[in-house]
Amino acid sequence: MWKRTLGDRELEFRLVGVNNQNFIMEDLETGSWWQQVTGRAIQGPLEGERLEPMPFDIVSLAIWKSEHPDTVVLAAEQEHLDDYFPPDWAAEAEDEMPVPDELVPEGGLAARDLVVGLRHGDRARAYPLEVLAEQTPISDRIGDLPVLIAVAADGRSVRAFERRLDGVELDLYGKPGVDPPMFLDGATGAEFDFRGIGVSGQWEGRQLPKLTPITEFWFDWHNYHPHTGLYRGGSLPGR
Amino acid sequence: MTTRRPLVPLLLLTAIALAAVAAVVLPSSWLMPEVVHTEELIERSYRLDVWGRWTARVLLVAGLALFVMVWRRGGTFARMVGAVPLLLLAGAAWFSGERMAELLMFEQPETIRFVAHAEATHVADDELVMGLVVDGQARAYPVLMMAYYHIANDRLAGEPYVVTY
Repeated sequence: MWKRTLGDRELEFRLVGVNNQNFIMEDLETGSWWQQVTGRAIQGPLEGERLEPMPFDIVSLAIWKSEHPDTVVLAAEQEHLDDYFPPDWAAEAEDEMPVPDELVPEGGLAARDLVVGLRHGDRARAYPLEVLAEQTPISDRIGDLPVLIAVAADGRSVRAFERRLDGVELDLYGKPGVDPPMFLDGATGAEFDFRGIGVSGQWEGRQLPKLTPITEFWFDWHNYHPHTGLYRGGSLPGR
Repeated sequence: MTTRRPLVPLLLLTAIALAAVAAVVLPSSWLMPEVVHTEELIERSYRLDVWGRWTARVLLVAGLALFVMVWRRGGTFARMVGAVPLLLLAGAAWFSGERMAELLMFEQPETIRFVAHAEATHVADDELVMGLVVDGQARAYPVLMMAYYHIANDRLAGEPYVVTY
């Protein structure tokens, strides 16, 4: 999700086509082509420009509603009811659209294994979703940025935060037996909820800075972040 | 006095019709999902796309002139044969600027409407949504819907953004 302003200019986008299974969009104002996954203009008058990311979450509707009771939801268009994807589409994607061999990265994961990707500056790191589900929450460091990444019991609702407040780096642990997940500050016992907001103790009312984790197929993440690290903490199940 | 045969304008008409179709169809076809893409291929399709858009229209005008020559010089048969490339040219000019991906696979929503979550019976509780908050207002875009649309140009509390999936 991207802000569609560039300086004073507002842009409107449409789909042009696909670049190695990640789509290219075109702005109607200049006709420049933009890569969806990176938000970077790759052709045309605006080539080299970057869109600013729009912070967003991907979580289950249940979690989103519980956190935002006043939320509205995109309405269905009757004429497209049959076009919306079925819940199991990701599992069937490989049959319908096999990944060309040229795009399958070396090492460890299968092309369509899901990873959760985080970017910080020029750095990128991918966390296999399976590993994350086993080890959640994972404390890590990307460059100089201490991060916490967690997934809910559904195995899909992912959040990531900078685990630092007022310059204090926090050691955060999962609170056992709760879902959506909560986090405990090892030093003070203060609690944070899944939104990253302190709900008790020293950090009550404070928001951990949110990051935008992207759940992607491994080959896709790797293709657009060729220098990505792959989180190897613990074993990779079954491989 | 030389005989004015329709063959030359007919051949020219056919040639420019094929060129126009190639200019318009190739860039889009290079951007289909089955293709392994390189930076060179993307650049080539962008250039041909920009060039092809205008060329197809210019060629259509030239094609019309050639068809008039065929019409004057030839009989019924030549006119019928000439109509084929002329139709191709018209098709290429119409298609130029269109997007094969949009026509064949996805269509972004024309008007974006929201409902209260209690009325969102088209989304199961365990389905993923892309959620955002601007100025205290929360919106959710179900992933299964966005996987079809791919793109939604939207705005909330004065902030224009594009939802992509």
